[in-house]
Amino acid sequence: MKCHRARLRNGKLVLILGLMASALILPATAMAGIEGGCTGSVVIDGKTYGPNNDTIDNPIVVPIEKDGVVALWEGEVPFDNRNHEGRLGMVIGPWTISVAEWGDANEANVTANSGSYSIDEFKSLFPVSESLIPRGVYELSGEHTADGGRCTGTVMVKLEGGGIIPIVAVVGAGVTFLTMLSAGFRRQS
Amino acid sequence: MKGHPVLGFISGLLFGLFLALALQQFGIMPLNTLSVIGFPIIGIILGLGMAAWAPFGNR
Repeated sequence: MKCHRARLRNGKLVLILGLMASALILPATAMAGIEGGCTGSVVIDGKTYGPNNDTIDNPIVVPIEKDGVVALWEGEVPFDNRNHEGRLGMVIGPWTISVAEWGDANEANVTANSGSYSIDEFKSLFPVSESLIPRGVYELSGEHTADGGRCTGTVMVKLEGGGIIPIVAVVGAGVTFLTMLSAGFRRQS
Repeated sequence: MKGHPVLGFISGLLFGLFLALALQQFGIMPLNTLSVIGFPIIGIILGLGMAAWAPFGNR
């Protein structure tokens, strides 16, 4: 009887975890690019990127190991841009780390702007030294809201470079996979 | 369970996290909700499933 109850309990646990996994997988098909009619581009290390850089195969490449690199950006909105505000963040799981924020009354209703963003400033967002910043691809999401409308967008960013973290990740995945298999050894009764 | 559920749970969780990190590092998948939360949950399911199935002999 006890054994039957334990099986039922284990079955429920697996079912609940399975439902949670399904619920997380479904929103993963979220749309990328920029919605709302806004346009923009950025020049990094001589290459121009835009809203089309929204896939893993075609990311915005950030040469994080070079010092003094500056991203030159420009953007335009197609609506009344008074009382605007916006933010740009790096997506890490369900969380977003703020990369930049802006906003003011903009009484002159300026709808286009340009500027520069230091990659060194971006590197300082990480609470670790430059060599320990995890390379690889990240999702960058942003939004801009004003009196006349709202734009949202997502692009992919690749932090270029090597480092020890890829090796640690592969070895860790291999070791924990083998350990997971060893959970399948029968206990001695 | 006939196997080792605690070992399966912990190793499955860590396997999911390392897998998410490895895929991100090699530019295959970003660290989105699916990889950071979904993979560890799938790992836990696999680990517990392994412990429940226990296809290997006594250790």
